[in-house]
Amino acid sequence: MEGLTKFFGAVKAVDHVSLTVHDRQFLTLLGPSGCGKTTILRMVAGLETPTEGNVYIDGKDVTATEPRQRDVAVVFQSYALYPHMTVRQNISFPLRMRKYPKDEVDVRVKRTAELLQITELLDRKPKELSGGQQQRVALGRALVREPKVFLMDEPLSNLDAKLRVHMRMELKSLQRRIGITTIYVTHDQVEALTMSDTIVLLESGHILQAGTPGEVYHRPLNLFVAGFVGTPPMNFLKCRLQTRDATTTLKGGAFEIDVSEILRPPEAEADVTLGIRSEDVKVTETRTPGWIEGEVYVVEPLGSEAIANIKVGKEIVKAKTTTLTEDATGKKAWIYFNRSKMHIFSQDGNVILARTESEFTHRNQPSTSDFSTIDRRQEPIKPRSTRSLR
Amino acid sequence: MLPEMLFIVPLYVLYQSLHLYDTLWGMVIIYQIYGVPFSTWILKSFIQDIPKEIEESGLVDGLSSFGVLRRITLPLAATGLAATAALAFISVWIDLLFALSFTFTDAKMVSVAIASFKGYAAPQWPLMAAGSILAILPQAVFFIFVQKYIVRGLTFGALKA
Repeated sequence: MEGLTKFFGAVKAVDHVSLTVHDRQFLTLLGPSGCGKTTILRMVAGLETPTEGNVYIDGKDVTATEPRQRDVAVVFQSYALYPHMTVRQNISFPLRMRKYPKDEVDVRVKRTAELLQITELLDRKPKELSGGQQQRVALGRALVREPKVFLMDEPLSNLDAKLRVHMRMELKSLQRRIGITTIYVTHDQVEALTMSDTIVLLESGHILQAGTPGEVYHRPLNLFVAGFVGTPPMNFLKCRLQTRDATTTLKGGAFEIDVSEILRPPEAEADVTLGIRSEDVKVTETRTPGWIEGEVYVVEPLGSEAIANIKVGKEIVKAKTTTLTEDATGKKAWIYFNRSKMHIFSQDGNVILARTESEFTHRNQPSTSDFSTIDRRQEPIKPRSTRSLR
Repeated sequence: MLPEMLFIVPLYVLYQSLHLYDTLWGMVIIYQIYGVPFSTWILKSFIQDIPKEIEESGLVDGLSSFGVLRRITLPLAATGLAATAALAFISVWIDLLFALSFTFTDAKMVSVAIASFKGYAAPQWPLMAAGSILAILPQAVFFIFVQKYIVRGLTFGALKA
């Protein structure tokens, strides 16, 4: 996709999105409702005409091509099965419309039904099927003609939680086995993290970040990405970045952290946001020098672990714990932020510091004018082969 | 929607000047003018009920726009089509006002013919009764096939309007 833009009246739904999806890649468009991800998918499918920009499949410009000539298959959120046809007729429909020989149609339908374990459902109508069965029929109809690109628009959102978890695994396994280039749209970050080779985060029609699940999770480029990805969401604490007596500190409402080792002294003080994930916050009920004092507000048990909500000043910090229980509510607790896992964001939301244990990325001199140059047009994606959707 | 009575006089004048008075074509035209907007209004609800994604599926699966209409939209709207056809048929079949106003002898409609059995001296009840039963027969046969669709169609029209 090159410079894809879409206006609906005066509303800009997609803003100059450029992206390359490589052969066999599972790419997820992730973002909140209204961010433009479905519009992008529909433009790739040919169901929406871009206001500007082009779509290429295998190097060929298909922007003006009808959907039926693009060799793409779509699985819609509502599955969109033909209610007046049986499962067999639904699955064979794309082949029959393309005048495939009857023998080949029968063979492919049988093979696809066996792959998806819906052979016994072939003579039923869609209304006689459960949600999971309908979804597999929709997948079968998309798979049967072996398209170049698989487009899926939140196909799991209508399933119950347990089935959704199961189908995530099934879809990922299927895509790996068949090896079709896939663009998947979802607002569920867990789906994106578990299924994707590459995640593209969108907000208000433009790309905020594109990368592997690990990159997006551990090295978010801005506040929105950091807060959107991860369960529970990243803790955000308002701080003041300042230098006192050659020591660089982050001063929050009820704490002060020495960050001299990980950040060069800023030229000027600045308001920043400290981001730290709950698994990178250690918590104890034992008073520990150098740790931040707080009070246990509430403990949310999750089975094998719990989320402790610690009140620090006026803010709540979530910490994953295996030691604290609900009995600790109201008691004092001490927390420590893993310095190597801290993220610091400037006032405009872009990252100043994002650090993993093995890597260190650092920007100097935080000021409001320094961090507006994040390239929102494109993130390079590593190619796997020369065949591509662009 | 305005009462049909309001249009009788101007249409009568128009039909006389166009030599459509007491012609079958004249009646065909007037029933089309009267029936098509009504039928469109009813059908619109049924067509809108068809999820857009099903039609888009058809486009992706290899159909042209006309193919989507023929293979997906029309089969799914069949119930609506049947209901609308039944309503349109009834409204034309039982019409007396236009039939009385725009026909005389050459294009006399069934409803007018039955009414004319009233006679000058006394109503010809046997003829009127027999004619009525014969006139009802086509409707009855039609209804037997589409009655369930009509109820659904009337309900849909009321809810959607």
